Amino acid sequence: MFHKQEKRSRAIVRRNRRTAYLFLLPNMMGFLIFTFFPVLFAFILSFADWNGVGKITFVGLNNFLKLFKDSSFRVSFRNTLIYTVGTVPIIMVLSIALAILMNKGIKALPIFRAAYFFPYICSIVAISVVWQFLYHPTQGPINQVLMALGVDNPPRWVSSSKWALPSVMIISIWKNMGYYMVVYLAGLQGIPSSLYEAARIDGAGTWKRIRHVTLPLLTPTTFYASIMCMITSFQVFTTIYTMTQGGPGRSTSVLVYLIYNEAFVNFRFGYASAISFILFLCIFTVTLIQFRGQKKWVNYMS
Amino acid sequence: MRLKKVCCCVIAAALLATGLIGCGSEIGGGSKNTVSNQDAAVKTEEASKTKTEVPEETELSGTLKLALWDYDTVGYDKDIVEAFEEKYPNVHVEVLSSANSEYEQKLAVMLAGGDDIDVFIAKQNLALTSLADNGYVYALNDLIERDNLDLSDYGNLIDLHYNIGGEIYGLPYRKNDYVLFYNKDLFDQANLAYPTNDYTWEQLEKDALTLSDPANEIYGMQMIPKMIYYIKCWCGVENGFDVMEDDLATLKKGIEYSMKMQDVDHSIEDYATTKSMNSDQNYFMKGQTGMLYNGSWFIQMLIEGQKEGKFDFNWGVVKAPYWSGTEQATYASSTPVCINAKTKNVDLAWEFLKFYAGEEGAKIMAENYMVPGYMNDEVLAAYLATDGMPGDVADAVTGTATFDIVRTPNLLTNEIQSMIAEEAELAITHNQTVDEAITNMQKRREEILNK
Repeated sequence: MFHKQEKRSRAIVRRNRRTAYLFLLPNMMGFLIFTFFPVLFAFILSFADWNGVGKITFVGLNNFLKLFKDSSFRVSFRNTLIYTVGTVPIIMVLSIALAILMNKGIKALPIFRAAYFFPYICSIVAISVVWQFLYHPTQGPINQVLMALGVDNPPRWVSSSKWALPSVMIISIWKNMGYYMVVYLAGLQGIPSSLYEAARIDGAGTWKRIRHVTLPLLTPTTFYASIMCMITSFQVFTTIYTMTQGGPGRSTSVLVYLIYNEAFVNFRFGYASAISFILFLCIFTVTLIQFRGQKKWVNYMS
Repeated sequence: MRLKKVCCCVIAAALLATGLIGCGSEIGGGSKNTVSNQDAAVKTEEASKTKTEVPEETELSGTLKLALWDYDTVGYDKDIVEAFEEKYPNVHVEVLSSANSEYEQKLAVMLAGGDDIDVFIAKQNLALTSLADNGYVYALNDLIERDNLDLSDYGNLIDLHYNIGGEIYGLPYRKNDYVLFYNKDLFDQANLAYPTNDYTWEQLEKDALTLSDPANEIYGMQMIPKMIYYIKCWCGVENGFDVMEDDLATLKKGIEYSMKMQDVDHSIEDYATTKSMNSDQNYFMKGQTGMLYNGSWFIQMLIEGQKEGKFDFNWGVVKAPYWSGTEQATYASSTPVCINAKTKNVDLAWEFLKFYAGEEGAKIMAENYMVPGYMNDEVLAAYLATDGMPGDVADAVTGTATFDIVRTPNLLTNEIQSMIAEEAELAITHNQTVDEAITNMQKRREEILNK
């Protein structure tokens, strides 16, 4: 009697499990075909030489040894680091500030919110064209304003190998802060107003309230935002491709641009795969550190 | 009830699988198999090097897929294709045209993806070496031998651009001599004698200075803001200079020449400004530049442009300047027509190639003001007799010794040229000194050659 019941319940569990797997099947197929197998293939390619159409010849660690001798790789790696370190903190700070301001219920709030979010959804090509004009060394509005203010030799922006990367970083910050502002706005909604009242009663001013109530309770959002921001900034490509094509010289060449160049312009798919593998390791390490560190600084309100 | 559920799930999974597989082949294969029935007399073999029977003219039939760029805008390609279809009424040429700026990328993707292309036009002869190395191009040696094709009317182009490791990978249907265009009206205004077919870069420097009037935005000289044009000018400093093997410090003279014109004489617009304003070859038609160093394809654009009323000043063309102390020569590139290595219509493609890059195609190119790769007396006569062809053109585009930036075609030339362009651009835009540029060029050339 008991056996039969157990058998039936096991059969039901099995059937439910099978149904569950069948529901998951479409998603898994998509993941396997479009993500997992290509990544696996790229990983295998990083140990080989392939020009995209001929034979795949295995060369072991050769690609990785070449990497470290390649000045283009060093330059791209350095540029990517500068880009990440330069944009991520600024985007975080600006988006928190904007979100806190927006949350105060200023008039015409939806208009401001749309205005700040709009660059994020705008086409990168359109943005490049407009900013190319803005950045023009003599006829662009930015330099005209600077010269009117008395700056004698304003930076030549995208024509200068020193200023090209900061120029692209500025565009990135302007473009992305809208998205994270919206993310933080959502995070701010989760903070109960009773805490603010309590703080106000205790005599805390605006800045103290922000520092001791808002920011600590925003740490889960900050955790999410900082990881996403860092990952995407390591992978920056479209802005570089449309605005500067890695130039002038190699001053805005970043890792993904180098990967694209080596694979699709120089037909060295194996070498490009090796570079992308290094990029993957970097992003993975950084994210791992973030996750480990989360216990120390993220407060989850339970 | 349960059976019904299982059936539904299985059918759903099967549909999904077929959908994905169907999608996959669509992305991979691209075009469906459109090879229509081949005539029995025309044998085609997958093992491309075996000899086949020579088909009779009227028996040629089938569909030929041709990949090129700007088909509807330039006109001469259309004329040649239509002439071919007229000669062989049973042949249909299916044209796959892309925009100029994306063509090279698109072609690479189409060839890598195994698309059904039979014949394609490579953007420039420099691209041919990597295309050939990747196995995309059909080697023509056996076909040339079989048909006893006389290659002498192509001049030194075959050896200069198409002979890669003993194999001939295409035929030139277009030759692009680099020449000097000048605005006669501006020269008249400045009371200057027109450039001659014996013009040196040093004379150009002087004349450009006289012509320039920066206050009115008139510049004596214009260079298209792409470093590859400058490199072609600089490589002439030494006859037979090879960017792969020779001392790159030779380029210093050229770089300093261009920078002097830009920074001291102000006879050429600042490179960074020209680049950001995207002042390409069409800017010459504005009538504000005295001279332009460009390829002979521009002759056709100027003649058409004048007819359409885009500009109305008088223009002339002479051979490109050469460096004083060297033997006169000009850079010339050519545009290859090639057969896809994976084509299934070798004989049809070969007949098309011979037509396109041979005498018939050359005559049509001449009528369209373009310099063909194939040149004999008849073609030259057709070129000169073309309505609206200015008298000085023939002298400018014929009879000049030509050079390339390398002495033999090489796989890495493209990459090294890009690298030189990068470093030179940094020098011209004052982001580094000329000496630093040369040092970096030499260092990076070592790296690339050792890759």
